[in-house]
Amino acid sequence: MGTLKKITFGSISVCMLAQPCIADVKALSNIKISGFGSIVGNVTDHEGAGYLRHAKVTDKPDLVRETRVGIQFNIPFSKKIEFITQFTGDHQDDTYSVNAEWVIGKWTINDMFTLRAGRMVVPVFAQSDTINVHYAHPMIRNPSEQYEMLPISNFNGIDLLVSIPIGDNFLVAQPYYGSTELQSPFGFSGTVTTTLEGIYGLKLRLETENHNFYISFMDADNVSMVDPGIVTALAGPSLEVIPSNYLISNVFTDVPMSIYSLGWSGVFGNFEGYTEYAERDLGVTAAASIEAAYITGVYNIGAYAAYLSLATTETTDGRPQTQDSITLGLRQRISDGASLKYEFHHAVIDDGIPGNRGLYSLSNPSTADFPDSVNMLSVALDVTF
Amino acid sequence: MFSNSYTQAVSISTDIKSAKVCEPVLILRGLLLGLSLILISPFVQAEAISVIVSSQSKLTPGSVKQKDIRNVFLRKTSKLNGVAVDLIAQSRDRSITLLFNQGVLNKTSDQMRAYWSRMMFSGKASPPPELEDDQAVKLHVAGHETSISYIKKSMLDDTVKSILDIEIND
Repeated sequence: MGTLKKITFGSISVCMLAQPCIADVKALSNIKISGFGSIVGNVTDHEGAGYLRHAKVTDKPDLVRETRVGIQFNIPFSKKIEFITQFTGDHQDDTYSVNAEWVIGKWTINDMFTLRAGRMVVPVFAQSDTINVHYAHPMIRNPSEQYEMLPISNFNGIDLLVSIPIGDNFLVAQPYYGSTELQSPFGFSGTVTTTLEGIYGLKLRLETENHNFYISFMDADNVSMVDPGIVTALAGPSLEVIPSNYLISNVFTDVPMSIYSLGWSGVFGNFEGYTEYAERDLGVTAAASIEAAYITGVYNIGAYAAYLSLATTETTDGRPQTQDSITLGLRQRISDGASLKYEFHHAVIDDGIPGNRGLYSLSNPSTADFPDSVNMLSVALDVTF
Repeated sequence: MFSNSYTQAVSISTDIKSAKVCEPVLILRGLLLGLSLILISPFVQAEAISVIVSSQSKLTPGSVKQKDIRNVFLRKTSKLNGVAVDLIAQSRDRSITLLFNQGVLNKTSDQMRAYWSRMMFSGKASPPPELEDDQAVKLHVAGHETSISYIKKSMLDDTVKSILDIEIND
């Protein structure tokens, strides 16, 4: 809570510092409230380990396993100064939590420069900014093979949006700097603390009328993942029940991490396409390099959109493992701002070390049974308001 | 659709001319096609939209292009020819808004909603405020020098100034 107070104070400070530059300061009479929500039900065909690290989907159908709601307050102080805060409530892995996903002060200096400070989402991939807003994307969830590569969603710091017109198009540069600490990232429960210090990165995005291209890198000087439970186990008799790869990969301090990614999205009449490639390098031998890529095609027919996505992820060092998946789905627009999605997902897992395979949860590696493939059915209701 | 009908009409006219010196069956064919065109013509229409500003605005008719309007209504820029503008939209379920989104912004209503979701919930930009109809928009724009919006061309009057007329196939 102390951290959140600091962030709020910092972001409001940006607004206050910028205030004297603005002549037409308004009262807080224009507060805008908006929100989004998703109810996702899903089930797999495998009795054993939970599938998808963030959701831990099992063979027991659950209609609210990935439920998420978000509410956002936009508080404009003037045309150029705005305070934005977004809270999300999650139901994942049988737990409920409320998080302050965005708490920023935003200063639109002019058409070219916008400065933001506070807590914001790490913009490392194409859809990272709105990964929680499922309505904004054709699929139920962005391909987990790539989007679970980064175990955090937001950081505390500062970014600058630089919008440069190039002919009829715009090049948007987004440098950022900050740090973050997160309890229980994807796939971990209870005690695991992940810290990223010295986060800096740059995202370049070229926006044309029908196409967007981006390239980005993110670097963190000191990444630590500490699980007191495992540290205790190191000295105790329970050591033998914990797979060695879990210990090696998930207890480390002050190692560097970098992520490189690039992608494209575009529209051709009724057809939409998306593709991205990403690589993560972590200074831990057991999981030094992970690559992921996906390609998604969407065809819009009136109120319906059919989509097909192919994705892959591969760890090439230390703990070799590969997962390839195919996702087939249908999005149905049921009203303005609401859609239903039906999705079938089939993943094949190769070359994995038993006890840690593909995108399975790592919460109980000693007892989990990890299959070579998995089928998952999901249904989602996404709304914005 | 409109341009296709036009081509079709020219073709029919050519058929009729040549029929004077050729087969009578061509006359019949021309008449049948002409009748078809008359029957379907009520469904083949182009709607004209006017992008309007206050009559006090520094923006002048014909000074902006459609791509400029697109960029400003997607909040990629806040100025037209160096003049700051404040966006006003019409209700999202109105036919003119659907037409404007499709014809000028090149997005379906679903794509617009998804676009604003991405912009809004990433703290980048908010959709423009909406007013109910052409009349409300005209009234607002007439009284605000920096406002810009769109109405049916047929609703234009002296209270506002059109800076760009766009004909969009319905």
